[in-house]
Amino acid sequence: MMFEHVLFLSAYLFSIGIYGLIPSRSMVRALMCLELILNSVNINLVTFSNLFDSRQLKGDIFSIFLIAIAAAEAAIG
Amino acid sequence: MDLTGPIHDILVVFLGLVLILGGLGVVLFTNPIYSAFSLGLVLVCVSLFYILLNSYFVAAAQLLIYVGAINVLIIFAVMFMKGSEYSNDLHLWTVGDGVTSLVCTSILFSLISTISDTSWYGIIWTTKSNHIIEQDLISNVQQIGIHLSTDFFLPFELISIVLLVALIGAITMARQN
Repeated sequence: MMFEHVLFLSAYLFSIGIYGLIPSRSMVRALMCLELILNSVNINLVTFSNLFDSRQLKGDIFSIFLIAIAAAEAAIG
Repeated sequence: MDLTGPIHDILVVFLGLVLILGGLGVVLFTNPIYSAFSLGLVLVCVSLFYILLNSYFVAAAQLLIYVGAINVLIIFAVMFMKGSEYSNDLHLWTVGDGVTSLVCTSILFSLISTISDTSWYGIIWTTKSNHIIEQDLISNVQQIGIHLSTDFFLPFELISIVLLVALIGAITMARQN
């Protein structure tokens, strides 16, 4: 498994989310870019959970918590 | 998913290309409805990545919550916006955009250099060596359920309280208008 490529993809998603987040004036566009950033964090969590901790799966649980937080944040915004 | 080598690589390359193009589309489309749909494409590809990384429960949760709830909510919000609200949002290249793109490319390249400098295989070797190889008696979903109901019980309940507070806050903010 070339997991470094997955990490590169998640770094790309993070930086492009920040690039969209900083100059955006509308609320909806900022929300979309925030979802991109949270998704990159989730990709990192799931990758390291698959790599280092395939028995315990704690990274999966943290990513589920992040998904719930993102749902609450999108419901408010 | 434990696929054989070439099929796995082809899938990773294809999904990565779709992710790169979709991420560019989210940021660079001037019409927000197009960027919302390309955000949906990105989320579907991320969930396919989770299937490739052997975590099926997170993939299903991603499909259900992100694509089914959050993306639909964003598309509704875009459709309720007035037409004048996003027509004046034309993308002019200003100084702030230049500074932002500079900052973001520097973040990207510093992250990439850090990732490629780190010796991952040493870390994998040290974690694998003191790892007791056990039989997979129960599946991943059962393990996630066991963790959620034993040692992650308090965060789980806190998440439900956060969701409840968010719902009540959204309702009160909507009733004031």
